[in-house]
Amino acid sequence: MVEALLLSMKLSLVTTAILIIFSLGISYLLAYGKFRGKEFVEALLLLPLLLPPTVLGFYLVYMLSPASPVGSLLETVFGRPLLFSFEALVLGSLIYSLPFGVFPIKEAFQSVDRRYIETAYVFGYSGLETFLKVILPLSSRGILTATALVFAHTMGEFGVVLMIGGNIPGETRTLSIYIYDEVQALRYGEAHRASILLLSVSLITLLLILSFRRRWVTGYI
Amino acid sequence: MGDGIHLTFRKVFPSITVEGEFVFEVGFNLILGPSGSGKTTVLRVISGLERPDEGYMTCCGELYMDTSKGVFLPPQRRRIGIVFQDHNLLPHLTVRENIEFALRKSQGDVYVEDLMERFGIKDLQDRYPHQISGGERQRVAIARALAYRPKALLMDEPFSSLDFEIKVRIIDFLKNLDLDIPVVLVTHDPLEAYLLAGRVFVLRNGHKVREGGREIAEEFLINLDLIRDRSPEVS
Repeated sequence: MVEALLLSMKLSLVTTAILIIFSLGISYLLAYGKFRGKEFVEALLLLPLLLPPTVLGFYLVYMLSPASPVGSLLETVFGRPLLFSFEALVLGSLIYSLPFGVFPIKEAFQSVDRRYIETAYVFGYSGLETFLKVILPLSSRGILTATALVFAHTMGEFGVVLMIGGNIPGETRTLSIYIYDEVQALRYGEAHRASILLLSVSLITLLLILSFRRRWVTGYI
Repeated sequence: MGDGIHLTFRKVFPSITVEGEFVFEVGFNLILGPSGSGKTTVLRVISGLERPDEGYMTCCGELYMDTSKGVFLPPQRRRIGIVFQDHNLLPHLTVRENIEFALRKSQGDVYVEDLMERFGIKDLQDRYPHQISGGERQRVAIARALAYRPKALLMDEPFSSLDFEIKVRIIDFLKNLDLDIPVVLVTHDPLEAYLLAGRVFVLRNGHKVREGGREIAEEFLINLDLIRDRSPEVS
């Protein structure tokens, strides 16, 4: 159970870290970029909310299998097939939680008053410097919201993991899968303990992030 | 040529075309006009935040923009200070940090102390913008713009959200600074134009309809019927 919990936490941390960094870039383009087909891109990014995890998982299995071009390419890069590995879980989680990373941050970027950005330009700050010194600190609230959402969503993820992870202890058996196994085996006591553990860890993490967000942000807003 | 700003431009928006020729000399230049007359566009073109369809501009004898030759200096390279009506100060920085924000590519520490002393904001230096009054915020914003050692100072309705008394006091303060750069100030209030007593440019529907001295502002104020006729809010 502890092994499964640690794996769930590792998956959530890795996914959150990677996804938040990606989301900062994607959200910047969505909030400030001018390009055709922006609505289409946004719709595409929202799609993981609508898709059943089974569909997403199914296509990831299809894509990652050594028989597909992507799968065989990844196999040469990583030196082994990615399917039924921790890396596959990370990939699946990234896609599955994408909307929770991108949209809160995009909203936060868009709510930064245009004049703050223009003030920075006028005082000689380049686009990147303005992003780091003005946009990012003024969006901290949204970024922390996204962090909390992605972490929680990945902790509780089940369908995608089931589809692409297989059930390898220490590699792909997360706590939610462990609970499922225990229920299937009619070991309800253990299932209860694992469920309460998952619930407590998720709740405590969310509380930490949210209280950090409140203390950090109410300083000036 | 010399010290001032020479500007000719034309910018077409879906609802209005703003164009004109302006010479802003050292001292106060007031752009007077109702809202929607294109006043702000003039400032945005000077600062480089708005790219006009056609335009030519020099500042202190330097070429900033010549669209016929494809020259358009970005705002970062114009060294022009700006003060908006509100939302000037970065809310996550203290008063001192806000001033230092403009100073980053400029002089050292001594200057900040001097400047805060002169502007009477030294006691506020560790406060955040939301912890000081509107008048204090505008004073900090002006101090910050000057900390940048700009070649010109642009002000977009800088006193419009201030109480009358504070407005008069801050205008007086601004006059006493004896700035040796062109100050271009946009306002809809002829009283501000009158008090600052500089060159006045009247804008209407995107075009300069009059240009002259303080007498223009005076006329606006004396002939109250004229104000009533021309201001859409009252009629």
